[in-house]
Amino acid sequence: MSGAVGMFGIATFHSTHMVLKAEKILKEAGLSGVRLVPVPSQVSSDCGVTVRFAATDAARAVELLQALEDDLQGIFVESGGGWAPYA
Amino acid sequence: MTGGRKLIYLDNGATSFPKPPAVAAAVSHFLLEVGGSPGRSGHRLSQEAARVVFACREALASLFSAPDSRRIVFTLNATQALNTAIYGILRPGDRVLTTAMEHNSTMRPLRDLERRGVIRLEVLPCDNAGRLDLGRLEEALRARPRLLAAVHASNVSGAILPLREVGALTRAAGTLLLLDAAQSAGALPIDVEADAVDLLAFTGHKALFGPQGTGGLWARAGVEPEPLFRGGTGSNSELEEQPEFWPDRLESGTQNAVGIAGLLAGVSFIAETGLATIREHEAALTRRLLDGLRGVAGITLYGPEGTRERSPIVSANFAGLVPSEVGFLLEEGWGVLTRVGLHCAPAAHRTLGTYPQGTVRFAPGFFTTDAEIDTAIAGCRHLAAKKAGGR
Repeated sequence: MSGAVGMFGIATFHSTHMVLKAEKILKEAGLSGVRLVPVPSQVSSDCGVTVRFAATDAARAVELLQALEDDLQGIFVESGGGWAPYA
Repeated sequence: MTGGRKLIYLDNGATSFPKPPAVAAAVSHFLLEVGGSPGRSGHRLSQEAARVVFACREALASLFSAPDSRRIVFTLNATQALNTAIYGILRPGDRVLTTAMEHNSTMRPLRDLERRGVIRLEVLPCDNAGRLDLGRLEEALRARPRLLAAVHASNVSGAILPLREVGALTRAAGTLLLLDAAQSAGALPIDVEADAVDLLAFTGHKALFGPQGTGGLWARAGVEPEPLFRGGTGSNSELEEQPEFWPDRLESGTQNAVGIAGLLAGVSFIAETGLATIREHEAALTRRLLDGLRGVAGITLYGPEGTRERSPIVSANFAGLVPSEVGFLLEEGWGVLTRVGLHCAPAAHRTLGTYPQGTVRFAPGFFTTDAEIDTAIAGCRHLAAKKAGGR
């Protein structure tokens, strides 16, 4: 699945700590559009944040975040007004 | 100031003061500009607060060479960290070792578990300077106890645990090492990997230069203390059970982000200044104080001879004066602020032979000057001479 221009992907984690760790990793790798956003309610009931990136970078994100897989809940991309698991 | 005299703060063993200016600036910045709740809401001020907490965790992991910053959790102080480790790890029937130099923040939880029949506790002897007998430790480790809880640097005598050797012994025996780094974190090098530490309890408000109400616990992967508190973590909110993952499992309720902002500035100050530089300066001040007081008639010094085995702490007693009198007279006459009494460590005082009267404790810090040490020495000599001459 590849996102259209202007679409986003997100990676959700159990803890805010790991979201920030992921943000650091994605920023250091030079991915575009990396920023923290509130977790979409469709994806998780958690009250915190998630890290967003350009959907076109989803494959890179999966690769880069491999090291954090213990805490990774999922990677999602925008799809039809909602969020679909990226696979 | 007291009567126009500048105060000389030699109580850094209790709380470091003054702090680097960046610490106060960070606290002020947090209160004025950041202010949000870390890890709770998604808005930018909450994110900013979460970033501060994250950055502090990473900075502490780097300071202690901890491989995974997730496994550092924030607490109020070393006491809460030690209680979390002790009550969270020990199980019925465990054999536990500790030393005769422990602070009550370790001793009281252990004695409580012993009294209730949960653990079997052995207190390892130390010499009259507060140094652990490694031979006795090796012997005691043959019974493969579950845990050794040991203080890295004594808050009474300053005696430093030979951490590398102790860590090697406990690791070889399969015994967990819980290190009380209340006095040493920020003052002495700690490398949790090379030193084979399994649980590290530290406070933020002493040598790490943070505000009071900050501290933390680090635990090696696979060492999983049960939480003392359970509650909101901002994660897994659909569940009514506490999350297992770090750091959330041990961080319930809104964290002290404003304090942690200050702690981050303190830890950054250490990274910029260099721990070796801090250690060298504090050791020089301690040596100056020891040299100035050693051999003075009427003054008894406790702890290891030099500064190689001693953190920046000098405990003393004055013939014919009780510690509280000495503390009062030093403050009145010279503006010198010390701590007097038992320093919450009765076991340590029994070991040093200073129970129950305690000691007068001088604890210089990184911002202490040679001139301040000299004033303290002059005050001490004056008091000792006056007493010897008969008042």
